[in-house]
Amino acid sequence: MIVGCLNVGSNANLMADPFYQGKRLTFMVDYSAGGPTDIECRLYIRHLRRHLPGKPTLVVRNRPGAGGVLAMNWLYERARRDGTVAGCQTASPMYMEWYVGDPQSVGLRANMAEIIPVMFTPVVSVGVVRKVLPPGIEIKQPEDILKAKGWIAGGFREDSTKDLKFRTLLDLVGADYKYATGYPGAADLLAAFMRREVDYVDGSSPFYMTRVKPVVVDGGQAYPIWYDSWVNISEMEPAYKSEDFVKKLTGKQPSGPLWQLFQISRAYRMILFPPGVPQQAVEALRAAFRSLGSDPQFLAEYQKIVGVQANFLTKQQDLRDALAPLEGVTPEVRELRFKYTAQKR
Amino acid sequence: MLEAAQLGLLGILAWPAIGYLFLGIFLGIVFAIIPGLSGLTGMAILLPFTFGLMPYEAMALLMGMFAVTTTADTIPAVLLGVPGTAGSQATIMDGYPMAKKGEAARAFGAAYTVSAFGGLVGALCLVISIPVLSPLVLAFGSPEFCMLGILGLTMVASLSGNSILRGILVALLAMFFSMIGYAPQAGIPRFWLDWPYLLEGLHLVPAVLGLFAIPELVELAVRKGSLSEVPNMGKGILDGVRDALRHWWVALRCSLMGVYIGLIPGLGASIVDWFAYAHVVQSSKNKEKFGKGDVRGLIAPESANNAMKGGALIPTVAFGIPGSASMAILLGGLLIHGVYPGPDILESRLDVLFSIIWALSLSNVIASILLMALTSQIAKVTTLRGSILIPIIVVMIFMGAWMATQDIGDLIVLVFFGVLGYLMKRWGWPRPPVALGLILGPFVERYLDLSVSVFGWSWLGRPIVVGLLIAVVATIVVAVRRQQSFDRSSIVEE
Repeated sequence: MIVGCLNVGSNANLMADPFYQGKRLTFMVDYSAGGPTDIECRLYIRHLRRHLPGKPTLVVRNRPGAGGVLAMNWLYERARRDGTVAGCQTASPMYMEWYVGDPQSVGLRANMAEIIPVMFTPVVSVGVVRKVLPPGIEIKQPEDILKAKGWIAGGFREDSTKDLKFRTLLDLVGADYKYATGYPGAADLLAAFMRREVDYVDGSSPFYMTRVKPVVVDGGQAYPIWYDSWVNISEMEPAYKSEDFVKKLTGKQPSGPLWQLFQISRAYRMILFPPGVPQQAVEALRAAFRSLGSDPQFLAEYQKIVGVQANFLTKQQDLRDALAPLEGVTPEVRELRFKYTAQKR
Repeated sequence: MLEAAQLGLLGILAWPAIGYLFLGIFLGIVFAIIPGLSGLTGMAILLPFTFGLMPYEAMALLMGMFAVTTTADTIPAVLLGVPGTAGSQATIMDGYPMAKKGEAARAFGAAYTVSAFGGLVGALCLVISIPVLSPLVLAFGSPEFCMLGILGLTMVASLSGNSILRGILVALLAMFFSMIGYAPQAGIPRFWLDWPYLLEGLHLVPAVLGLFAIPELVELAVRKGSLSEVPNMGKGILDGVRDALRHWWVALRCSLMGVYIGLIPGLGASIVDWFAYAHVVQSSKNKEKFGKGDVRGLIAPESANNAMKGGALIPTVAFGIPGSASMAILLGGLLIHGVYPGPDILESRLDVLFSIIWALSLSNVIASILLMALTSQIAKVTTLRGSILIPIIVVMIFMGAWMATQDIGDLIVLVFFGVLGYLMKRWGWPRPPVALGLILGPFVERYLDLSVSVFGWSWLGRPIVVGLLIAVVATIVVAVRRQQSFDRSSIVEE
């Protein structure tokens, strides 16, 4: 099913006149204006026009709600299919819900197998703990968290993929923690951390670099313990990359159902088209993002705002690889996910 | 700090920053007048335009827009009974009756004066608190938020008119409505009727527009004639200014309340005006005229909702914790310009913080003066025939509701609450507790769950929680006694 939707555009021939000549291309963002997804999407759009032949007018609209479900349903059911409307979404939870969860129970009507991926970029996550965890354990290296007991990890919601990611990772290494959920957003979690209500927070790299690091890490209150990225990032030290985090704390290579659940909980910012969009549009937009990914002006601003290097997956093989773990999910992993999210089915 | 203040002021007054400030003010006024278009929407639209500006210019534009929406939103609230933004819901309670009595100009005079005053109080509190931001913001945690929400719910009593029981029942119904959608803690949708629109819960804007604006519209249509029930314009702007000066203590108390509530993330403009209104009703000796055109009922919310903005800036700049949704966008603007909350802005970029403070202060004053100058013309709307006004109001209401999520569900919610509001008005059931219940229901649920989850039941023993609990009990006792006194006097009259 995934292979089928990726094959759109494989035999495209660009027309003599650019596809987007004289057109307007609207990007629908699935979260509110001003949030991390919105800021990143608007950053792409500011530079993208230079790379899109035909120089169309680019517009951003927001359609927040239900964790992205409303925007995805809208994209699938109501967006025009002439290549002039695309989604700019953190849609990985939708893919997970479609392939591993129960889409009906969350109102997801979009058939994710028919949605056309144009570009994915992985979201880098970072987790930090309080410098001194109960009962008085000073964290000098990530391994020290195993000596601590009964510390509190704050989260958004049980079914949040962000929470699922850190819970599976901490459970993999056998950390003794309590999970407190219901904080409305990353900023509220940071506030709770500073009030000593919770002892662990995590978030995407822009949030870490612009708020967590300057406010609590550099101030000596917090210690970064893990990050998830496709490359090693020196700015995240002394945190370990997720695979190294598991290996160093358990002495074993990460594997098994929990690790698989962690891998499929990874988030991506995505550019998506609704089904039925012309091949020329898909190919034009993929080429534009490939070009954007090597634009020095964009890359400098991206590094400044997002805090990491840009990594745009636009080749069909890369997109296939990103989604493939979802298709290979075993019943055991599926059951584990239901257990973690307490979702009805 | 003085040098940073001077730099910030010079930065805002220099061209083109001052031009952007005035542009922001103009756009803020336009957005505030049209229901459904709030400062939040305006800031979201303006944010990308700030990318290419210098920091002072960007802050001037964003703050110019942000600061004035709760000043200009008084216009539709007073003239049409339609809240221009979430911050002017309570303004309708006495502002609209004043317009019907031909006192629209007086209402505007009072509102604009205290709006400027409240804005300046908010800015001043921000400046004073810079050295003590950290303990101030961190003193309140989930337990304190929960108890503050419960205290807010007790204000139902003050907003229930002469029947607390009805107010309580209405608030409970509203809290049930607020449970629609995802539970705060778990991914379990509740009462969503398999309709994805409801997964996110009922949106406040269409609900409030329906509840308050549609019944007034129906009444205007049935009554015929013009909005103002008196042929002349009544007392003017200067009388309103004198009212504001005479009730300076109300304005100051409510401004400080606004700053305080602005400090708390998640409450925001939609609740601060109700808190202020309920407070002035509770604390006043002569309560008979509230809801019928008492100028104090206008002064309280209007001063609070402007002061709130200074308060919301405090956690935003200190820790990058947005005090409101608009603050989240301002934060985005700061980050894009390489200005980071916390030590960066408080130590090495204090001039940018002061540019924000100056922009907030100047915008409040400039907007008030501009709107005062236009008041006498604006107030003449009250003399227009209903047959002219009603179609305009209908368009504004439906457009305002549609702006929430541009989903047909917004209009369905609008009509549902419109019918409910009409029936409630007709049968004498109080409507403000519905707004309180819808806003505070999820807030209390979330923070109650977090408090128990993190602290167990020991959260009830925290000092500030105990203090707030005493305030809750006192509020209930006072309200019950007032009700008993009213019941006794009713029996005596019979």
